[in-house]
Amino acid sequence: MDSVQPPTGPNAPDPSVQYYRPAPAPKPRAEPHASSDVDLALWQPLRTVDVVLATPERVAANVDGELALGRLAAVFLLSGLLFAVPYSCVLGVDSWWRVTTLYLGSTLICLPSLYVFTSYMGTRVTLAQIVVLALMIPASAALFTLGFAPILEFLRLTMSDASKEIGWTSISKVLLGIALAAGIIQLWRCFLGSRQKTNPALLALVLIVWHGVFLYVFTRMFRVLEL
Amino acid sequence: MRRALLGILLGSAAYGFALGSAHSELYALRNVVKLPLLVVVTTTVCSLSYWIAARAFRAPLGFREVQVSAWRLFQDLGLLLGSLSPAVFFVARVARATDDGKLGDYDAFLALNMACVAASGTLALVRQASELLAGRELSRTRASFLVGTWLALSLFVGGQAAFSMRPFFGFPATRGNVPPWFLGHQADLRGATNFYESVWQTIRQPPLPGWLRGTSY
Repeated sequence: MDSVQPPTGPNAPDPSVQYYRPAPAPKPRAEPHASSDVDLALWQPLRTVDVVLATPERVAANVDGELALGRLAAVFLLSGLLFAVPYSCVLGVDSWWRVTTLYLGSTLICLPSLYVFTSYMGTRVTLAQIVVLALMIPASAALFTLGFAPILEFLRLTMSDASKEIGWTSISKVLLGIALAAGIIQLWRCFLGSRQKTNPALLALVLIVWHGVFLYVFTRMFRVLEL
Repeated sequence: MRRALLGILLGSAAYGFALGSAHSELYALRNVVKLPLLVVVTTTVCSLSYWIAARAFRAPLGFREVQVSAWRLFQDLGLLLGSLSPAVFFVARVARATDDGKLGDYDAFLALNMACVAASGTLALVRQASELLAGRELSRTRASFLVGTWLALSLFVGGQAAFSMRPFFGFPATRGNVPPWFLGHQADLRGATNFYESVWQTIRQPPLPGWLRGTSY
């Protein structure tokens, strides 16, 4: 069998030069949030927004290393509780609790099932890790509703209650749906940023199935709350 | 911020005057106030959601930075619209001189102005966003999504603001009437009571009232 000879002559490549592109260096691991940073987020709303929305890869590092998870859960819980109130008040001052209940209530109702199923499937994820991951949904969704609140108030002021086709309440439903989608995306951004899980494919599968249960509970809750 | 506000007021007022000239001097003079108000309302209502969107896309921007940029954006929009006002004024005066006293060139003039506002708004947004995001740790894809979100929010709110602040140039059959400053959620020609219904009806094309049918185009 003929062996392939390297090209020779004046146009031959210089053997001292590397013609291949070296593999890109792996992306450096995000630093987890320090406990003091998370504490700050409990008191400063601008920092809360940073922790909840802007740094899912850092939250993932916290989840992986099981660092400051209690504090993170408190920040997410507080965000889910408070930031949805302005939007609820636009729907009616006496309804101030409804949107909070919608997101936080649906998540808390489904939280035991997520923990039990992940443990049962042998993924070795602790309760604190699951709580932080799951609470990303109401925390992020509530922040989105905070951004939507002035818009909905403006629509409520300028649109007729008796609109035949598209009223402000229909648009409110769409905005709540967008906020929910943003919360779920945020959960997945955090989940995909995490690296030290045992059996990540299995955990992803459990999460996907859990989303089905969660969405069903969410829609029932939506009807019960007459949103 | 003060300079931005002045830019918004002058540019959009000039454009508003040109727009209203298609109908009457009354509409033109009212638009000197209404167009800047439309821009200011849209910026104010969207300001919080612009920042939330920026943080969700992990853009390293502070609350104040986003607000300053939003006001500069609308200053640019005012400048661009102001530069278009002579052309729009000419088209408006021609339309007014040649209309049939019913619907005239209302739909064509509306489409022209929507195109002017959309093109100016997009241009101003893309320029401001690229300046704001230059040199920051944000990928091109993520920056594009962020700019697209800001644009969608502005259109979503600005469209409804414009609908409630009607009439900006009316149709010729209403010439001589003195309408209220803002029609709010009063139904339009095709029965829409808000911007989103009006977009839906533009797609569905329900018939116009009988007294407006039979126009020359």
